[in-house]
Amino acid sequence: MIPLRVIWKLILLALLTLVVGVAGHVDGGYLTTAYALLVQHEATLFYGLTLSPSGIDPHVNASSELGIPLRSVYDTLVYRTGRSPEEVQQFVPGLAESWEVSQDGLVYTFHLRRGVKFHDGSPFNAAAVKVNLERIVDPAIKSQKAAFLLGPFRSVEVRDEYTVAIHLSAPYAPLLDSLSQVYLGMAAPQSLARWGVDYQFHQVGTGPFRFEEYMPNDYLTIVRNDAYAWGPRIYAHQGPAHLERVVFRFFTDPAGRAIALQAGDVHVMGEIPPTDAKRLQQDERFAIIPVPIPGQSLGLILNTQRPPLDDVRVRRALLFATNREEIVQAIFGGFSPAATGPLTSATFGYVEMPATLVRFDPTEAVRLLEEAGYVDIDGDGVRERAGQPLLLDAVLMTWGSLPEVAQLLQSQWKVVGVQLQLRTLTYPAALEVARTGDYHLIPQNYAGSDPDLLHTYYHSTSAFNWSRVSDAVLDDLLERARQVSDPAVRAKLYAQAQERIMELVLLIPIRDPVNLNGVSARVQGLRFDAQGWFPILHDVQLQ
Amino acid sequence: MCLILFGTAAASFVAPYDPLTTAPTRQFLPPAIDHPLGTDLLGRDVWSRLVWGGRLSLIAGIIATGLAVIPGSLLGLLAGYLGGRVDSLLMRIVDMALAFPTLLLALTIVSALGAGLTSATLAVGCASVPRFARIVRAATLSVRYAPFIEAARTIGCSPGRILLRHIAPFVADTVVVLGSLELGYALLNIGALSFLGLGAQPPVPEWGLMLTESRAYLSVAPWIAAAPGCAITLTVLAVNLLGDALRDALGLQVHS
Amino acid sequence: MLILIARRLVGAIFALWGIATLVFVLLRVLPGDPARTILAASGASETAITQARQQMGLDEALPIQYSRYLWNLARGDLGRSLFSNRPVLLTLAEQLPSTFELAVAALTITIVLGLGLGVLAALYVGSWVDRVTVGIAVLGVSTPLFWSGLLLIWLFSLALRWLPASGAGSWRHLIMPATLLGFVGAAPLARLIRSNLLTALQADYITVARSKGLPEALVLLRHALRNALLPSLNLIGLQAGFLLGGAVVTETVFARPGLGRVVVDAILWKDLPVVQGAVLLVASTYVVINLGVDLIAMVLDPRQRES
Repeated sequence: MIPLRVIWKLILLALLTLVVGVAGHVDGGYLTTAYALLVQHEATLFYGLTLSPSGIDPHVNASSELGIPLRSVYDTLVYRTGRSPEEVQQFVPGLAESWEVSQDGLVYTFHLRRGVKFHDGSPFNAAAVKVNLERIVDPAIKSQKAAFLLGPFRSVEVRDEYTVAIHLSAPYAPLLDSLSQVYLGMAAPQSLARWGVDYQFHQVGTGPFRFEEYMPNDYLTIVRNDAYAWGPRIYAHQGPAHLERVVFRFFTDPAGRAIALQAGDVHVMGEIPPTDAKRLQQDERFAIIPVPIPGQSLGLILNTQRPPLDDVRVRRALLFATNREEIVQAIFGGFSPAATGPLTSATFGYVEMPATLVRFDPTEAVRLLEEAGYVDIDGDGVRERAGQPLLLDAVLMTWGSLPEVAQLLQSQWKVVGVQLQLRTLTYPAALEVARTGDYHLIPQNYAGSDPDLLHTYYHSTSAFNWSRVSDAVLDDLLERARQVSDPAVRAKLYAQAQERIMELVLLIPIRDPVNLNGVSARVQGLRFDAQGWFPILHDVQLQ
Repeated sequence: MCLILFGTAAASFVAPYDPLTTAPTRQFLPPAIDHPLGTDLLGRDVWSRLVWGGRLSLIAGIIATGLAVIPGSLLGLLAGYLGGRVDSLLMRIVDMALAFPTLLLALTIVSALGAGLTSATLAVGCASVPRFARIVRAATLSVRYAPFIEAARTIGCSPGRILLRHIAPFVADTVVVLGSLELGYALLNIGALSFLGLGAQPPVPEWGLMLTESRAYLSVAPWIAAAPGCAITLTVLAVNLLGDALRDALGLQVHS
Repeated sequence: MLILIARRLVGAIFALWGIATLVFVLLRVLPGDPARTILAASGASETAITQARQQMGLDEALPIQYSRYLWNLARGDLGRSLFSNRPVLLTLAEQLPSTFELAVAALTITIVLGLGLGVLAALYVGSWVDRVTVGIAVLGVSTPLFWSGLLLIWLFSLALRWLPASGAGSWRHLIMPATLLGFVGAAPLARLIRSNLLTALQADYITVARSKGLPEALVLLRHALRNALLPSLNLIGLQAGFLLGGAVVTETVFARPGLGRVVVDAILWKDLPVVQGAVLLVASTYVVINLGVDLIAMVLDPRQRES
């Protein structure tokens, strides 16, 4: 028999645990910043990110999510103006006041701005640039993007306190573009040395906002840098930012994004699903800012070495059997253009592919398949050749509505007798599959404002050559295009490269990615930089 | 319950459309006569997908339950009957395995096997084996020392015979009741794995996956999410009530 | 009594060791090479990958790996995350408060709701109250969390605007996820309490109490409930494990920080040290809670002290 007091004790215990729980979270530092501040500071902007990145050191990691907050923490040597293809080749001074390029294109000399201070108080100078660039190319930090952006980097030379020269082993036209990206942002050498591998939690730059705190899966906060007086021309105003603080939070579940915006949890939310975007457009309390992202179009890369895709006729048949308009209309609600080639229309050097290369033409698709020897003999709806059915294996990832896109592809290709099998993998698993070549189709979507990213994905020697193509013509075009400095000549070479890629049918392009940002009407002056993903928070005001 | 079973078994007669045929121009149609539950993002008939999906989900759930119940029961019977060293060793292992939450264990297994409905089913089943072993052992223990077992032993019945003829039928009641409850958990867990992207792969019309896919369109087309959502709830509810009814009918008292 | 407690403690330590071993085995069996996984994103060469494997000690014989693993564990060193390069202990410690808060709140709701519904159902056994309460309890276990969670958000955050839709940090953030999780746990508890109560009500001492003319409710609460509670205690211990499984989904739906998310991501990304650390943490919490439950039961129930 249990005495009654024991029962009371049990109830008391339950209450006690509740009290402890409540007390525990009151002084357990994890909430002190974000939510307490919402009440205290009117000038705090809450910004919803779509995934919690696995690492946020811009020199090391590659995700676009990291750049959204950190673009405002770091300044870059140069900045790029505008987002439309006509303006993109204009670079304006940032931390570098001016620069020259040597005749042979191998030496870039930068004259640095004076009087710039890092958030930790240390001065910005040529030595700091040297430390940063040498850190990025150091194999020990396993850079996933920044090191690639530096291309044929050889060394960096400090000429004097405010003059620095970058030496290349081959001419590399995209260098200025690279230096304008947050991945090559200038970090304080003192703090890099102090924090070592933990630097990503203690980032220090020269930008309009200071990095305050990052709690993975929870929030990332940046606060205004009151000493900021060296904003580039792309900022609408000089001096310190308007906002006092920006709190970033992570929303991995797409179904919850629009709700969080509507419920007032955040002021800005990225990657709103198109159906919600349409709904929010009707609501005067919110606006949708669609931002086309320069870089690769969302599409599926074809493995040209795995039968039956080693036959260009089969690849072209798949391309012609694909109704991109239908996919874009159904899944992306017409918010984004259907892609015709490897680059999005917001990218420098983009050309629309002629209908001879890319079009929806199921009759021609059927003809090509038959020409390649694929006929449906047993009448099961799937074509076969020499007893081998036309069965393709597509690797998918969960982002970018890829599962939905692939399901429509499945039905579209079924019509011409091609069977498509889908398997969804995580990013690391997909990378592993990409390495072994055990796939027919694999998605690719890499943002970047310089078309040199085609070199990364379609040059025969590249580690990311997932189409496994080895084409002398294409290699030559991509090599020349990255070496020529004249933008007009580059554009022409990239036009040829894009056509070559579609002639060889190395991918099935689907759409130009457009980031649908849901924004509360209280937010004023929100613009996005040349990379598309990254907001210019310096000019944002909250009413 | 019968209705659900019947409906899904006769999927090909009940479903007016092919569950995989897409018609993007007919997306998000509200429920009407030709589409009793409307259409989804890709213009597929939700009712047809629901019926076909029910078949898949139920089969997956039943297999997962079987995978949990059969080895679990055998282990539990053995441990309970043999007792001593074997029992304590088996139960130690089971206790350790029990320390892993079922869903986590299933997640780990799926990530080893690769995502998919088959591996999700396997994982959910395997992850529940220890729980079952424990329950069946308890039930076995409760009859192990009963006079009629002692009697059987004294008249010289072989251990195998005692286990099969005398203990197993007694334990079977518990197994049937808990198995029916387990089916509900299995359905939910397979659904949860689909939600986390590790269960059924598109375009398979599994309920958990259908629900996951349609959650994002709750504001424009609530019927697409409501259909699989209610279907899962109703099925699990039915299964649970069935379990309760069985329990009452068999006059059982089941402790977990 | 003390000897019994000591024996239990030793058993718990053994269980922890066994769990550590189980984790080790499970993770080595997983296909995929962590060295390759981290380096693949940077397009590293084969030699770089081999080097990384050496650095991580992955090329050594399993027994050596195992003994080093145990030694590190004994020193409280869980290693560093393969991706963020942070100490695993720190990574987990950061996420712990949020999950702990959720678990405690959910468990409280489980106990209060389970007890309340169970007693109510037993009091009015056979009547409509019984059926309704059992129905509510069953409904709780019949709905996928990722579906009911979204419905709650729609109702309370969007339609009624009472509660924040996402995040953590205040009691208002806690209400929906904790209720949801607690509700799921309450169902089995309520049923167990109901059936235990009904059994207890048939016992002789209850008949005695009734014959003394005590009101039915008093009989139930003072006499029957005491005996019905004990077996339920074990169930509450078992719920602890379930809570973390449920937290995985709940944390995703409510965009809450916490261990659940960390574990899922770590499993998906094959971040072995983090998976190892998190699973060990969860499993040892479970062992400790169950040890506590056992001890409480021992104190409360003389029969268990003797056996």
